[in-house]
Amino acid sequence: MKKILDAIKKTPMLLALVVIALGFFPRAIIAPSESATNAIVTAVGLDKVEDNYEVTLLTFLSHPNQSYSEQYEVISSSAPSVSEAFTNASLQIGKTISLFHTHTAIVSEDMLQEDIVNSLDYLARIASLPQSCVLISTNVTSKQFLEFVQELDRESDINLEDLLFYTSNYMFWKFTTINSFYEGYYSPVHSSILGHLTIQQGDVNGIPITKIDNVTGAGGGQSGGSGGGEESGGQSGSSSQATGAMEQTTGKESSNQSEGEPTTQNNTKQLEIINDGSCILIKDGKLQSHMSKEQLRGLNWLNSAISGAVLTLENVSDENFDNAKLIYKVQREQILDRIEYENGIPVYTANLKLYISLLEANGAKEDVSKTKEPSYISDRVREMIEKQVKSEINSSLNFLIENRADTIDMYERFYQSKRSETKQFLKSISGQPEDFLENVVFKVIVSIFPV
Amino acid sequence: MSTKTISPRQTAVLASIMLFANKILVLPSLLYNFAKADSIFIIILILLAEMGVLFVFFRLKRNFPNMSFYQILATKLGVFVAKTFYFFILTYIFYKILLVYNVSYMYFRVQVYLDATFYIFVFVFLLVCNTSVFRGLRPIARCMEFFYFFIIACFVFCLLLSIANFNKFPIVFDTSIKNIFLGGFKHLFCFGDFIVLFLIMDKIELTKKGQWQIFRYVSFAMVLIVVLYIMFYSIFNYTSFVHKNAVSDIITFSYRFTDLGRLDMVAIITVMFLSLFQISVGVYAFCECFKQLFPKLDLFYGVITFDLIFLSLILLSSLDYLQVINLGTLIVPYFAIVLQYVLPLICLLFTFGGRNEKDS
Repeated sequence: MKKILDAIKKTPMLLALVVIALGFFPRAIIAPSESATNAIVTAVGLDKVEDNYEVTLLTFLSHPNQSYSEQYEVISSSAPSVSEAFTNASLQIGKTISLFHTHTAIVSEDMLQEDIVNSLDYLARIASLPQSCVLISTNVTSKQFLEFVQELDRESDINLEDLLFYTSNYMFWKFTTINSFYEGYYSPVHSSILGHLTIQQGDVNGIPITKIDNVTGAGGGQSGGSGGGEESGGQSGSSSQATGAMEQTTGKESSNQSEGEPTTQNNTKQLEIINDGSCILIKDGKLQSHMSKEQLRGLNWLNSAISGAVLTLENVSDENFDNAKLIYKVQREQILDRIEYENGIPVYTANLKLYISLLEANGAKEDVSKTKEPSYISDRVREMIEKQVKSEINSSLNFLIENRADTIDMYERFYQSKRSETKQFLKSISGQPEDFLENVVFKVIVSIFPV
Repeated sequence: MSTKTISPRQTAVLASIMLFANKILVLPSLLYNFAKADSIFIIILILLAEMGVLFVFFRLKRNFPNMSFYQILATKLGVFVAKTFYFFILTYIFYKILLVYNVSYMYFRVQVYLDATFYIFVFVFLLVCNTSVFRGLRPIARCMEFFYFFIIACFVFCLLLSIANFNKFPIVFDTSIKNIFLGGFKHLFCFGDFIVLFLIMDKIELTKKGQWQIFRYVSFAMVLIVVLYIMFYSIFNYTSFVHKNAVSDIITFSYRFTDLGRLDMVAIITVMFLSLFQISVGVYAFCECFKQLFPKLDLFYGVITFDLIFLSLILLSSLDYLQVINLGTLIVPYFAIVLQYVLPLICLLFTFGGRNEKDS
């Protein structure tokens, strides 16, 4: 014993190790696993229901199981503030809510009627929601959205993260993360773009989920297919149209009970998540306008990181085709752009080099094998593509100008490279960076090359 | 080599590890509030000043190779002035330890140990640091030397990963010179870590070749820090003020990496080692000052005094990192400018007095 004490005395680091071991090992051994005390949230939704905030959490709850299965639950809670709603949700499930693994945050359009920065602030700053988390909006409530996602995950291998990752990579102007939202919000133009996923009823080109709701009525002869109000309750404003669609359920009365007795209905409805590449424009933290897929594509022509656009040319008539429909895919895009002032006016020149290949051709005159070569491009095709690309860019720019939302950072780019001229020019207009975009002259040169 | 001295390489490692203190987590965000992306110039300017301090140290060491810093001050300025300076250095070092501790605590709590109590952190940090101090400077330096390449490799890995998140070059020259200097002045407390080298100068074996080695290591660390700042402002741009954990945030920013798990563990491990070493060296420097102020009391009393003041301040006043930083921006810059730059300048004057003091 004396030898041990001497050894410890000679090596204080050993003493430190012993003390730490005595202090922490028993605690580590008896402590429950983190998965037992923490609810791992993979997606979080924010809604505004009257004066309350409703927080919905798609939560992974681990259960020991021999098979490969994951159990997700949707938990929601409302309170006058987001932090209180989180505390309530934590109380409901008896676990600490952990947002470290949250990949997606969803806000409903109703929520976007007010500045969402204050609500997001709690999540990002206090609750440790990663700022790399994708932020999207939806036409229904985020609670409904996450319930749908839960079903989607259960019925198929498609999950929300994969869907958003693909969309962010190939369709949106840029990653629509919380940080990119913040970046737009705090930029001089105060605008940003958010991804938008809608849920609609019926066969509308999306991923379908069949949902059966058992609705128990209080009697009084309730019947028919209007009982799906539970899903669409509390909707108003711009989302009412979409939820209206959800209300049109296919009512199938399972029991024909007499008046006064409780009735049970099975409402079967097919809902679909629509990821068509559309998005929404946010200005000062609020919903400014919806942006269609085509409008977004117009902006994407100015972004070389986004490729894979499909161009459809109708009524193509040239030496090989007659009133044909040709479909091309943009395999690669190069942009050489220049920023300058010409006579005191800001001019943005973009030289777009599109490397395209023919996917489909309907309406060839003859010699189909030759004309269906992927590298087929005629002068007429070049002309039509150039016209289409310019028209799409023009339409998108007009949309941004109308909304005074310079989400393509034109002001910032001019400011960075031609600072004194930009400051001077800004003084000569309203002095507001938001008004800069409408004064920029865009010169777009489109060159088409076969792949 | 004496068993109580450290080699030039160990000195180089110690200096470069100390250089990272308080600069890689919260500082980029704090500086942004003053000078936006021009904070890059703040960091470059102050690091150049630090390099100047390092050269003063080399010159002082060359002129007074066997004297301690206290002896030099006492000989040149008198015992009272030397003790006064040492008292202020002791207070300043204590503040710096408090800052490193609080910022690291905030960082680990947010990133890893959401449920960990404050007491666990205090317990672990103090125990390891106290033990390190009792073991002496050489074991600390050897331990640093052992982990140095691992720490640097982790840091470089974070920087390399951040390239994937690179957005655009930050907008520079967008603020006034006044803001740049004001931002630098207000955050001087995050710099001046080479003061520790002065305190332990009698325990450093320095040769001409060793000076070059220290210069190389320190320059490399400075380059890494500047790159971190450039990447940070490039990635976060307008939102830089939100991101309080720079080295972690630059790698976790991208959605591309979220499927790869907790990549920020690399940053967490880096910060963990850096904080532990910085605090250990800090406590050692504190005890060195204490020893000169109270020559009759040995190392044990120095450590106990540190622990008592540290615990009582933290537990009784519930200081958190924001309060410590606020204190830093209000009062500490005036101390910092005197201790970090005026004192080395005074020391530089000593070296012009001829070489008759050598080995006195």
